[in-house]
Amino acid sequence: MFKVHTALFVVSAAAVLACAGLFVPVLADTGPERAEPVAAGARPSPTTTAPSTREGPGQQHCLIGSWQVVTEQLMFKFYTDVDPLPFTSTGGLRYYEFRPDGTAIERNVNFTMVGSYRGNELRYVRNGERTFTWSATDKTITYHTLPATSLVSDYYDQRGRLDPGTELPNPNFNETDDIACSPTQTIESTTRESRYSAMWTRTADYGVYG
Amino acid sequence: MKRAIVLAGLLLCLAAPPASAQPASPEEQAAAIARPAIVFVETRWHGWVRDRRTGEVFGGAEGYRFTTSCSGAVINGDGYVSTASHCVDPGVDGGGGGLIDMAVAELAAVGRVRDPALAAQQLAENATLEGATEGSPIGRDIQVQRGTGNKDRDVAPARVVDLAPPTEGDVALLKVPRRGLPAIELVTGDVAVGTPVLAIGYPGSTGEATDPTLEPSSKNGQVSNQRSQDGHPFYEISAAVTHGMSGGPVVDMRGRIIGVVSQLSPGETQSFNLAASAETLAGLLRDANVDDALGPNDRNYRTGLSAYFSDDYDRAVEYLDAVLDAAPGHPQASRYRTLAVEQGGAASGNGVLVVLAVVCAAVALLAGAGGIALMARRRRAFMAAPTPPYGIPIPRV
Repeated sequence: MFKVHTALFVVSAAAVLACAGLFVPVLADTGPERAEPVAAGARPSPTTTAPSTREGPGQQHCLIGSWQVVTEQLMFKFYTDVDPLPFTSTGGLRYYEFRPDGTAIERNVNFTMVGSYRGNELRYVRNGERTFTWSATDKTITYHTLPATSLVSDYYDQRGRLDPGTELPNPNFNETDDIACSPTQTIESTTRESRYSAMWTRTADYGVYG
Repeated sequence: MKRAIVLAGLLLCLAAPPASAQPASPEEQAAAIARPAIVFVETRWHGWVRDRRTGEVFGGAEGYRFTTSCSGAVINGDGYVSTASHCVDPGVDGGGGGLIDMAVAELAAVGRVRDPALAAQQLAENATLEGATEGSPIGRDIQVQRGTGNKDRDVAPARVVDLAPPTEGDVALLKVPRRGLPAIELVTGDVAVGTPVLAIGYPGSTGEATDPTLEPSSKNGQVSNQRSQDGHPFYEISAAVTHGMSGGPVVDMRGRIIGVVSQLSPGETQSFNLAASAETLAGLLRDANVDDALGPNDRNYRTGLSAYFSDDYDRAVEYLDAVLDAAPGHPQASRYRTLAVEQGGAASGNGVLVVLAVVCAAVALLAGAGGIALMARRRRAFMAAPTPPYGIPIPRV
């Protein structure tokens, strides 16, 4: 038999269940979490590294390395009582080694220069090693001192071998020449009275990587 | 008439289904999760190269200057960023290698290099990389940039907290003075060969290859192999990464870091790249006492995205609004919020549910009270009735 109060209790129970069913997700989902606000917009960074430079003269990386003289000519005072005469290299070997520590080595192996005077051939032949101190810009090279040398020069004319000349160290050498350095060759020259001019080619003996 | 009804039915059947925000591919969702944490790492280098054998110093008075571009990822919102160590390491396998390359180029220009690769190797073995004074460290200026919406960039100076050198894991941990940055989770442990992944970063430099909002690129692929270099774990991945993506994260389809883009395979025509395992990065984090836990805004963003891709647009808007409240420049939250609104989402919250629950509670109360009142009335009626004599049954109520 139908009882009204039982029906009311059933309705109430159903409503409680529905209520619980609706509240569970509401209570379970607490919504988005609170987060600390983050600054927005552009925030450029200050420069953190101060500009810096390295002291000391820049090294001429082009000159550093080893070079072989291909040709050389100059006006050379062969006789003391005759004006300088033109001489040109004809044989033998001359090498230069320019080092980054500011020293340069010149090595001569029968390096021969030939000229003439009144139809007679003149020659001088150089052997030995010279050590210079040097510095350079992109257009000039200065040999400051000649702290060591074992250079021996032998002179010849129509009479045969003349007295050899030996060189002594010279702390006041101080000679500046023009220089034009390129990857494979260098031209050294001067406008002084010697009118010296030489062409060198680079060798792989020193200062070349890889 | 029949025809019209059939036609109408046909049209209804052929009508497009309701628009859905299901991701077009797993990669879309992974990218959506990970991209907010991607940063651009720019390192400016300044230094000289000194050949210890000869004392020759390369770099002139001004020194060599160059900039490297890499990618990275925020792994802790308090300003911790991961990248590849070769992007920030001053050694010959990092920025120092760039100084050596510049010295080799200068030497080659004056005819002092026969084999550039061999020359670089000789300098790497015999040269010291230094700053303006002999023996001082080379200059390194790291900046971490990220898009903050509306074409704005947040540019922050960074310092190196720790790194695994390029030959020992190739991962670095940086710190920038920022808080509440969008971050990304790490996955440690083995990642199976064949797992689909995304490499995310900035190919090329920002100026050349990225748009002004610093939106990163995603390259998909998979884990091709598990490898190791001198015992350090790497993954070989097939994603077509390029140089600017070095240091960028390689993420799984849940947008979690499994590796850091490390080295490209020189001369390979096929995509074949290495990513340092996230294990190495996790080691750096442990050593630095930094955890990779997500922040509240990261969780809100992921919940919002998840709701969006589940077509729950109201919830998506609610959570993405919370993200944007805390980080108004969050480009991805802004984008997905717009998409959710276009799909009909609104920030309704739980209001409807609460009203319905209150109505149900009221019904329960009223029905219960009514039932109790009815029972009480009948009981009073029963108690008021005269007591019947023995032998006579009590009348039914």
